[in-house]
Amino acid sequence: MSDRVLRRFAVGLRRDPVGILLLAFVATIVVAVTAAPVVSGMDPLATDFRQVLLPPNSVNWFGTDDFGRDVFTRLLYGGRTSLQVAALAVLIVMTIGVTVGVVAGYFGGAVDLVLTKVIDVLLAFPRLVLAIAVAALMGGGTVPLIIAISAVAWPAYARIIRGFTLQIAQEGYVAAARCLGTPTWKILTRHIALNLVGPILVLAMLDIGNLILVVSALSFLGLGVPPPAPEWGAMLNEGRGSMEIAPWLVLAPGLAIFVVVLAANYFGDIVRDSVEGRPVHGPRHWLRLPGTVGSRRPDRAPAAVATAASTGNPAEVGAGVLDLQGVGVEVTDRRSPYFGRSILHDVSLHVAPGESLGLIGESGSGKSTLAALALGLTRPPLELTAGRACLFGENTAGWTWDDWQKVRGRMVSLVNQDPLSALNPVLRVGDQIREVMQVHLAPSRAAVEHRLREVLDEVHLPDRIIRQFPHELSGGMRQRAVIAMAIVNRPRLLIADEPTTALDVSTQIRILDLLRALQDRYGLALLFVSHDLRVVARVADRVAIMRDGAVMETGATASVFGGATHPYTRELLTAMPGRRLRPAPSGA
Amino acid sequence: MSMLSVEGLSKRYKDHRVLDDVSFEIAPGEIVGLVGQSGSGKSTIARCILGLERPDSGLLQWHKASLADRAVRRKARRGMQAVFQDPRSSLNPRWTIRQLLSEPLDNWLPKERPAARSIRLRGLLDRVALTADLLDRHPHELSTGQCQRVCVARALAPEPDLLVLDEPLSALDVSVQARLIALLLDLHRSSGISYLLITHDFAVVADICKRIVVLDQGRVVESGNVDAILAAPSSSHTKALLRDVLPMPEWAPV
Repeated sequence: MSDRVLRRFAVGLRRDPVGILLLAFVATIVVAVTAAPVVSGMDPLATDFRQVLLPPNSVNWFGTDDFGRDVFTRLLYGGRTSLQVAALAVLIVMTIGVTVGVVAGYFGGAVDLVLTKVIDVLLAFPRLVLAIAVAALMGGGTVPLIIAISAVAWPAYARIIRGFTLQIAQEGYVAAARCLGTPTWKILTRHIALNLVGPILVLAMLDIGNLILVVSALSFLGLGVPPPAPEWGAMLNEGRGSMEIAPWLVLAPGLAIFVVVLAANYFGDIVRDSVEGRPVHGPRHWLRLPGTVGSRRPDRAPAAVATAASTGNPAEVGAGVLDLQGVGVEVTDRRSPYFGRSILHDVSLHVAPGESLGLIGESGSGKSTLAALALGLTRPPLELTAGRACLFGENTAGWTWDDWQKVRGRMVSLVNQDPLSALNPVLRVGDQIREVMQVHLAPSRAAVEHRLREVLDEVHLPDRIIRQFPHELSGGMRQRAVIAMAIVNRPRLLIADEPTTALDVSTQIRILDLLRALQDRYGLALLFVSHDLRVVARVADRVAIMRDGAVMETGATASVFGGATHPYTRELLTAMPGRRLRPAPSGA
Repeated sequence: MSMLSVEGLSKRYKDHRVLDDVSFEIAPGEIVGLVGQSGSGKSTIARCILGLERPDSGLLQWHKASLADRAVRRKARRGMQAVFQDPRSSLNPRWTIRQLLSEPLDNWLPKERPAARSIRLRGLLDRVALTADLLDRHPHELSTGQCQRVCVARALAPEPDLLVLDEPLSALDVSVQARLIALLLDLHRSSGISYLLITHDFAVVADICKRIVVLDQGRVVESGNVDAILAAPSSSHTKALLRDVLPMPEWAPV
């Protein structure tokens, strides 16, 4: 983990001049503050009433205050206190927060209940007000200041860490560790806490600025470091009285707080990006597809598609629904670690109207890349580098994102492996199916309702699921709902990418037979992607076998496998389990 | 002579009955299949056996001693190991294969010398047909099939008598499944280890198991010799499950 994070951190910082500047600034401040006696030879407490309220000059760089003390020197010594207190508070807060959070999250039950209630109560108070109360009760000073800040800041951390812990405790490796006989304390430290380092670091960096503010605020209110000892917040308070005649008294500590807090927050963001490490793909990357920029031909592509849709006459759109000719897809983004790798090479496929083609391949064979290509979803770092991909007889190279939007869900639709991720968890199933119709056809309300019930009947779902949420359905019902969404606009091509892999065998066979039945009823062309030969055999007229990004064999299912000659085809055949169940039991 | 016996196991979550009076036994060196649809409670049985979950009632015995006893459970921790459905989630992504395989060894053989440990790690990888150069890789650098082999190797490290396999094949491609099945059968033949194989796929069970237990909604509906059940299933649920197995296409070789 750490190598990758450090590398990303270095890259992130190099691309960010503001970050470097702030970091350098803070580093300077920290060094100067630590080496205060060396940097300034003056005494921060020495008063000199002959030099009261001097403006900044060559001796007193930031002027003097109303006791004639050097503001620059006081700033240095004050920073020492402020930063030390904040750093110590972060350390204490993290220790308490992580311990409580991990214990509550991992053990659950009564322990969790008690701890979360305590956290809830503490969080109900405004943080600063509570800190003021605690500090005032203990009478001010550095130690009560740290205690007050720690006491009010840990509950927020504990709650976040508890959430992370709940998540990690669900991971398979925690259950595995228990089965391996790993003692609980080792699970908590080596598995859970170690995986929390990232989020903890981010939280600490993002909150250190906040804590510096709280320290200053409490000192400003006179609850922190007692005078005459310097502290940034306290200095701000002292300077308040003479703000109009001597603005440097307020400006100097104010700016110091401002810069340090800003830098801490900014720095926290960079740390977060490098720990979480997910490159953000903004709309710029996918709104316009590669190769389509500037080549937009308004209305042409969708017009052809729309005609085909309305007449439903296959003759008008040529012979093929999907035609791939010598297609090559490569990783073309230089920043990708797989730069230059070829994902698909010289792939030619033909799907005729109403035909079902089974695409057989294992993970890494490029079958899902191919499915994405047919939906116009090839996006960076991947790019189409060779060949032609035609849909309904038209070369898709000229299609813009908007053209694709008119086709997807209307002419071509997709059924995915995981129905739970294909459905929006917060919307009712019925609304999600309605939306697909409304986006494309703008039909009347009555027509939508009529079609909704019709399509649910076709996928054998009861009407009650219209008002249900995805989590209320079983896996098989969810997949039926996704299929209903896919066919509701009567598309011409349905792409099913491992649609039954997440389901158990009894559900699987029903979904497969449903797809086959729908294909006949709608005259759908079906591109059925799977690694499982038995599954493909159930639905496909023809098969294409893919391996390492290339098509090895194509042909009618029975002829490809009946006289299998290719060693890979034979391997797939012998891998099929359950040979001894043949012949199928009576009733099949 | 039973190694593990499950008697009258019951468990409910709130008002939902997950397990209802489940009983079966596993003898040393036996391969038992636990078959049922999703939601039939088969994974809950595995979690109860492994001590990840506490049953509401029922008796779990390991070599005739109750697993509710902490000392027995501690001893059984070493004797029964598990392989789960998703190999990626079962391996801590931050650890190298060496660290992952060392975890059980640190628990059970903490005093082993580094040289002996190194030989043992290589031996473990060798048993699951992986090469020693993987030791310093992280799980994300391995294929899913290789990850599942690492899980098997890790489970074999404490030299258990019983391996609980909870849907170990579902996340794998068919040809990778076939290779893992062959590997498991090889290990069984060479060391006489027992398996409790939990799956929804009758086809897989028919290929490996000698004895099966069929589960429906938390209840055992049928159990016995696999050949007898395949030839003449007595329960209607078993018949339905068998009917749902995808039939071999006519062109498949015998």
